[in-house]
Amino acid sequence: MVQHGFQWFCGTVTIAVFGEEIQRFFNICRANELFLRDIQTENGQTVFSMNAAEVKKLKPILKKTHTRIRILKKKGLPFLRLKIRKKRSFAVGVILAGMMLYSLTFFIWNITVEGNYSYTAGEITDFLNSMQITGGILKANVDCDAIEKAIRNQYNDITWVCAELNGTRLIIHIKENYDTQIPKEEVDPYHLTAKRDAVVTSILTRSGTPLVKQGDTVKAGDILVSGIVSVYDDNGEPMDHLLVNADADIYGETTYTYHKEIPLSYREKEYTGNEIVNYYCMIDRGRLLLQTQKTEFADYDRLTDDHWVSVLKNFYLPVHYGTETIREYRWVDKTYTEAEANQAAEADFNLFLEKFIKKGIQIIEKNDTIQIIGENCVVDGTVTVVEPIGKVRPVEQSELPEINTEGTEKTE
Amino acid sequence: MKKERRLKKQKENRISAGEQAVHVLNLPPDCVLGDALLSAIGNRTLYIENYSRILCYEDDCIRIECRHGMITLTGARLTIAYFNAHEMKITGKIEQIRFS
Repeated sequence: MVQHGFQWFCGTVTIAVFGEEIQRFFNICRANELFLRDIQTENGQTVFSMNAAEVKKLKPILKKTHTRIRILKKKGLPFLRLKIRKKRSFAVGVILAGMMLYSLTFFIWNITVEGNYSYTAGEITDFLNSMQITGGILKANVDCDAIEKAIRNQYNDITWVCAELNGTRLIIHIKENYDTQIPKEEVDPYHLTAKRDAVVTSILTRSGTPLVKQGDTVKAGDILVSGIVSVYDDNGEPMDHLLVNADADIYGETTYTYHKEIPLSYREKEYTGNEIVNYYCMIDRGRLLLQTQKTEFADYDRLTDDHWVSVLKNFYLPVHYGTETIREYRWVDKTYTEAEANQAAEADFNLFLEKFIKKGIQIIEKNDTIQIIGENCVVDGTVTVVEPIGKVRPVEQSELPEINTEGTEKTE
Repeated sequence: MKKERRLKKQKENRISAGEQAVHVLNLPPDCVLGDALLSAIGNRTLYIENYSRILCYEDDCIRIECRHGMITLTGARLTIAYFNAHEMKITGKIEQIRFS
């Protein structure tokens, strides 16, 4: 590879040699330390390659051996340079294109969001747009720390965010928290209350006064851990109280009910097979349709297959190209058979369960019944899960206990 | 006449001092005697060192003179990839190597 690069740099000439004493010609070349390569027979003539700079040295050898040569091919940088000299405008164009490419590297052209689950990439990009971070911004104006801070402040359940500048790309790596809901920072002291009716399965209190224990049945809104901590005197009488932010891990067994009615008759799209394909090219936000055909379909789907032009993996240019396919469809009335209805109902119920699994909630028990009642397929189900049941509620003034200070004064 | 023939045979069978030294001292003959050194990679590539000159080059036959004889290569699409004062590389389909 290196050798080929060196040969291209020096320039290589392919020469055909004619005459009676070709072997003698080769031997004298060797004695004169002329480096000949790829000696072969092509169409009955002997052909070899050599460095362009050494061709002139062949002259006395040719005279001596009564041989003649004909140059067949020239390749390499010295010959390219000569060609370029003839086509000056082309050379200028290449240089300008190179400069333009180089200047494009100073901007951000592509914003990618990675690791998102509940937030769409569009949502995060729109938020960045509101911060004036859009495609085409100068890299020097992008403050990654500020972006990270702004995203963390805006989205409470994004626990980790990293903005990375790579080539002409701005990559936002995020990590969402879908295990538990992080309570908003409260200024006032608060209790932890039950968000649903549940049976407490475990409680671990870090601060506050626990009011329930394992195995207790609680109703939605009941205080589980109080933010009021009483201080007792030597007689066991409440002397004072402290207000704290209740903090605990409380898990409870709760039951969710599921009810859904799926109509047996439904409408489904059926593609007619008629479609129009338009090709487009897009520079930044300006879209240029290369081929436009009028759409005469009443109902249609528009599918866009977009490709972003990139020179290297992370060197994106502000140019897109792709196809836009318009497919005609018509609505067809259909009816589920009993088996199909059961299948659709089961799929819906599984989708409901999947939400718990994705949140990391443990499912203890699940029951579902599928019945066809009249024109509907009715799914009824219950799911028993163990999940965090604590919810923050500020301590109200009326909840503060009255302290009998008189008695204490008397004893003093 | 008979004597002459016998002397010629003896001369042919005689081992030179150099050859004896190579044999006794276990020296590399290509360095001491200037024998051609051939290294083949399958039947597609052949490196020849210690050669004197090219006697004949054709598509199907290459004849090379060495210090102690001649090497004839026959085959198809034979190409001299490169050659210099010390070494030569031959590529192509080599069918036969003959020493004479």
